[in-house]
Amino acid sequence: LAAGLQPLVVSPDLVRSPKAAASPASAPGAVTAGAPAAASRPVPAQAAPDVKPPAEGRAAQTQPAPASPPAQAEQARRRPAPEAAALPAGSTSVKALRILGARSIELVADGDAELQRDDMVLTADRVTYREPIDEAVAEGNVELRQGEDSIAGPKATMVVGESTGTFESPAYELTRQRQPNLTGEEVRTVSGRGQADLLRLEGENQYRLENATWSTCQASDPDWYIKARELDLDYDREVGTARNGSIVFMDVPILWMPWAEFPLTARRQSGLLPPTFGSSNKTGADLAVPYYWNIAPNYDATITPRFMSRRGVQIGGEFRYLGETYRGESRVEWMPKDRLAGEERTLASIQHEQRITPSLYGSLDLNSVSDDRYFEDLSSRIGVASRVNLLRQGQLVYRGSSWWNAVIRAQSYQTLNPDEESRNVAPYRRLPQILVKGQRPDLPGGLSASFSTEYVKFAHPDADRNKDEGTRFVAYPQLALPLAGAAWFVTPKAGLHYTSYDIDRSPLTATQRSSITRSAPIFSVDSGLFFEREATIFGGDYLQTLEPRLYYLRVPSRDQADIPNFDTSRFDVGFAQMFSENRFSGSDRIGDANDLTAALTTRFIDSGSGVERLRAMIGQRYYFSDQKVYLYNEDELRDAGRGTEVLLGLGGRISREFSLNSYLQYNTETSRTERANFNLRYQPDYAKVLNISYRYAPELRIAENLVGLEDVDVSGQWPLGRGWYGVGRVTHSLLENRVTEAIGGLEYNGGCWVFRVAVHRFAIERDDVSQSIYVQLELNDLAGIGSNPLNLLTRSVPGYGKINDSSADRVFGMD
Amino acid sequence: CGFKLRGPQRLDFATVHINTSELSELGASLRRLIATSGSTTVVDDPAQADARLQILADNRGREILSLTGAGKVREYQLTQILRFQLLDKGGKALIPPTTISASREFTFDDSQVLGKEQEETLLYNDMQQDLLQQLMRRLASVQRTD
Repeated sequence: LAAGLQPLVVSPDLVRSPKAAASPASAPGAVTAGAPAAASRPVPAQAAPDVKPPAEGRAAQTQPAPASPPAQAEQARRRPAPEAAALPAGSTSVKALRILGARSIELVADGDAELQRDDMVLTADRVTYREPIDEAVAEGNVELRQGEDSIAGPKATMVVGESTGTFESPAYELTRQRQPNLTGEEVRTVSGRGQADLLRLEGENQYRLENATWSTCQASDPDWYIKARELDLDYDREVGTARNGSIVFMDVPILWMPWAEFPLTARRQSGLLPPTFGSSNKTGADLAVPYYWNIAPNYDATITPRFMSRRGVQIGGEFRYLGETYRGESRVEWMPKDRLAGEERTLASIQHEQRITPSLYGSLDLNSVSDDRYFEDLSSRIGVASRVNLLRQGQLVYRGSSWWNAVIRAQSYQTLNPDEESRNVAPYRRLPQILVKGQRPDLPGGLSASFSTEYVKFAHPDADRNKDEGTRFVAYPQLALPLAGAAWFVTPKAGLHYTSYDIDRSPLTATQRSSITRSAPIFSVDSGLFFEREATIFGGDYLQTLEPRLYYLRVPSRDQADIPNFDTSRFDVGFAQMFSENRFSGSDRIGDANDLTAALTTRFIDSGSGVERLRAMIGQRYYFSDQKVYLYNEDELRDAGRGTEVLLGLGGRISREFSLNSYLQYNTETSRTERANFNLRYQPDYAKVLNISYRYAPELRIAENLVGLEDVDVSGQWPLGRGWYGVGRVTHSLLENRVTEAIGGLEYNGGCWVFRVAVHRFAIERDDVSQSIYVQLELNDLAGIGSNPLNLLTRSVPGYGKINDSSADRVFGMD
Repeated sequence: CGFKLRGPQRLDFATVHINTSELSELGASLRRLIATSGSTTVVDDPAQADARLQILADNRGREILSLTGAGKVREYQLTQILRFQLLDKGGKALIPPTTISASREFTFDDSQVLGKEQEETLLYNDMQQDLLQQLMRRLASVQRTD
């Protein structure tokens, strides 16, 4: 049979120039079809010059794909190669300037040789294809392409159908998609590149390399790479395994890894996470080596030994889980002995949510630390260090239907009290609190009914000294008649607020009543109009609205002076609070009212998209009667007919680059500004932002104490050129003449890596600060090494933009 | 000054499916708002709906706005971020995934944590109403092209 096959000879006019594969259609070709191992199958297409595949298809097929062109990077993980349509699936084509040999033994394709099956293309100076064993031996400028993947080297041997074989000293690039975290988020691809002494193909998606490198850098001389004696790339699990390896940065090995797994597509996976190191004045040098254990897709754990040079060793563990009907997270930290404090220090935290039936939910939130200064001493995170009350709560929520629900909860707090002056009064414990609420909007006559009832038993650790305990029952049924058209609404509402107390008096108030009932009718009318007009401003078509709203509230006065304050505080003055039925936020006080609140809102809404561009609001309340009910002292009370606060708000984008958010509260009676907040943001570009903010509240009270507030806050991120960015924030309290928070940082974008350094300093007590340093090297799509200041910067610098587009977020929830 | 009373706020689809449960506060409010638009009804079967409104994320967060000199929280900023998309019957995006957010500020005191918890609830309700109004305006601006 072999003798019967004609050797292929190339006619002079078919000779191509070596580089340009411009007219491959005219090249001689050989097409073999069917299962390659079946040597005895009929031969449908002779390896002869007259057998040519469709010209157009061939032309497309031999176009060498440039290394991950951006347009194609968006496409599917294994984009179906266009040439697949040109050839029957599973068939093999061999092309070259010269094709010699007998196809049942071996074909030698010499000169610009190309072997193709499905979406896999092997090109070389010379390809020898042994059809009976489906083996191809390629020599000279060998390149294997499949989708966006490519492997190139001087010599390769492979069994085509099994995707197995070896490449000698190859350079490779393998690209895969990373699934987005959010629906609709742009799909990113991650490309890993490198070189090796030897690469073994071990079936689809399996690569085993010897003396190899791996990097996500584009350059042929990458700034960083993983270097390993043995490197396995498993694209089914999307995990790379390096044995006897190290991370090399700027030609310097910075991290030695006897064995390490790393993500190939920046996906979370088990393994030793890069160590976290930083430094703070509370802990000294701070080194943590987390081990991340991806137990299952919906369970994971992180175990973190942490060493603090001033204090000693701490062990931390975090366990997260997610099921169909439950999810949760638990955390423990344990320090057998803090050298500085001389004691054992622990933290435990459990969060669990559970759907018991489709309408019954339960949750647990338990938090505990061993001592009052735990967070101040051991955490350099401001949101943690400033914590005073740690929640301990369990609750059950029942949603009977869309119109009513019930909650039962037991709640207490651990109150940390690091300094006697700071008046960290423990809140009342609610053991238990039972709430039943409901709303029926569509009753006959257009009526809408609602009710809310509450039973609470309040307990307090200081009951034997100065805190009353007791139970409180509240029932508040309401009836409303909402009337509305497209351009208006009027809602009259009437309700009866009933409360009864059974109080265990403390020694301090032993003479006062222990049983109190209180009932107050509450009547209100809420109404509004909607006007609009076309407006052309900011260089576009806008719909400008004008929305006046009037709210009248009537509540008769009830003497409540001997009712303890279990859970009540005064609302701030604000646009949301001024339309509430009660100026107090708990049920221990029902504010007497006979007042009218008026507000006017105007918005500019983009006509095409409905996007709100700018909003301005003004509001004021007018009192018809003198107020009598107060919580702390009589200063709170307003008199009839006198001037009151005017509230002004303006916010939105005032130009393409500037946005503004401002609020002013002015008292017409005292002619004083009670509150002024002003935030201006200038953001001409991504990662180029300046914020200035001023907060002024000279008469700010916290409970009965005047504390005041006057802060200036400047923050921003700005490119400094050559890949450098500066970032920072300073919060200065003008009232206390003290910097309460300062952040300074520098970032450098090296293309496939980013270096960040940030110093964070904030007040924790009147004469004490917490100061820490974050240093991080982020290797794009691999990992961050060091301590990550990103969360700090994102939170503290509004508009902050991450300067590299990397998705290395293996551990979320850590910062 | 050119202002006129607002006309009916009709949506350009007769039926819509919402992917959040009517038992959730967000789902219930959305259904009420769509019902008041007059011309659109909410259906349970996504295959029957002219449009599908998908709430992709509804996140709430609390950040420290200012500290006292003693390092305790004096003001918090609350934010709510709502991410949604609107698809037509064939799955084509009428509104691509879009994020809208609102924020409110309030003074805080650790000794009043129970009362402040209720103020937080009030502000979240206010933000949710605000965001849903913005969402409705975006739904109202959708013109189906089929």
